[in-house]
Amino acid sequence: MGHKAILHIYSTSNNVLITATDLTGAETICKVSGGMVTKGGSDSGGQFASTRAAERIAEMLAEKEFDQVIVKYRGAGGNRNHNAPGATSAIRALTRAGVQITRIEDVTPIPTDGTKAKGGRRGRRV
Amino acid sequence: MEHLARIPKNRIAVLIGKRGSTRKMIEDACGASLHIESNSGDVSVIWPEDEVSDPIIKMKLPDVIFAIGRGLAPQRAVQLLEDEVFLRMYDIREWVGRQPNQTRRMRSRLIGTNGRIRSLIEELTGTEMAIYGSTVLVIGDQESLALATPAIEGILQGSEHGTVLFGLEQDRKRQRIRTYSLETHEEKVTVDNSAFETLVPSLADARRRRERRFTNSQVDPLDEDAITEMMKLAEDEKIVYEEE
Repeated sequence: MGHKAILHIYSTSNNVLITATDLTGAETICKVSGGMVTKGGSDSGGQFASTRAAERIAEMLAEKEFDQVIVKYRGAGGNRNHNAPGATSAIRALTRAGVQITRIEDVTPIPTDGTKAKGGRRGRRV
Repeated sequence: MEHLARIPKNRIAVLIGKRGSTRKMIEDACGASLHIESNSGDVSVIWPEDEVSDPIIKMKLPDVIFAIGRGLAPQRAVQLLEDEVFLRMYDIREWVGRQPNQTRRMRSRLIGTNGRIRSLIEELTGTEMAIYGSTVLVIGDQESLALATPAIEGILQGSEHGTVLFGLEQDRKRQRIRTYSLETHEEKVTVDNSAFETLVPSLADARRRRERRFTNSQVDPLDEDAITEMMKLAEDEKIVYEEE
């Protein structure tokens, strides 16, 4: 019988951060980011990076005898993009690695009002 | 029972379908049973207890119901249950304000004559759009959503249709060139710090002890026996009493 952990997945288009904590959420067990598993800077937010990072964290958790996780994923949120592109592939990789997922929660910060989005009146000019 | 989303009253009929056919299709796709409150429009779901269902489907089902509520056809909305399909919503009122005439104007601009502009955007980016009330809903994979965003925002800001469609064509050309090149990912290899561990011999031991102590301390705080078990010392631990 193993222990239970909370897995926080923060996924944006540029990076993905996976942190495993204990059930209080205060004590970090282990963490992996997209940049730690890929070499190219622009790859670190992609699906490949999030899959690799999830596999890595599943290994680390197995080593420390954690076999159940609660997943809490979030995107950038606020007045930026709300969806988490790396979350689905990370969760898929976790189930494949044999981690038991008890619950999945979306914890993206959603504004009830807020500030003006970045970019100005004429939008982003490339 | 888990609450999923609340949908507008005139979309309830679409969600249920003729003799419940659409509702049955969604239930087959996700393997759960839907519960639709037809007075308020609240939709909730009951997951089967015995079998372990796919966590991704659990995560994506609220999006499907929400998309049907925002005007997407149910046949198209079930695509959202796939792994790589995401949803993005734009609110027209953010660009042109609350006046109904203005949102109507923007709706017409996005749809075009006989739906020409909408179908062109869908075709060039590989997404699917639903324009309903004051919202624009787009589904597609990550790259196609990134392509469709500047087009939709351009039209909402007031760019001419020609400019937006030209930009889309250019993006597509760029995309096509990118698909010719093979995608490679380089993986980072971690350096092992064994050299350092040999220099400080007790370091590995200390780390192992600390990690073990931490995993052992993950016990139920109400269980007395587990706590006394946790408080016992292991063989390689000891408490030393000394006078200062």
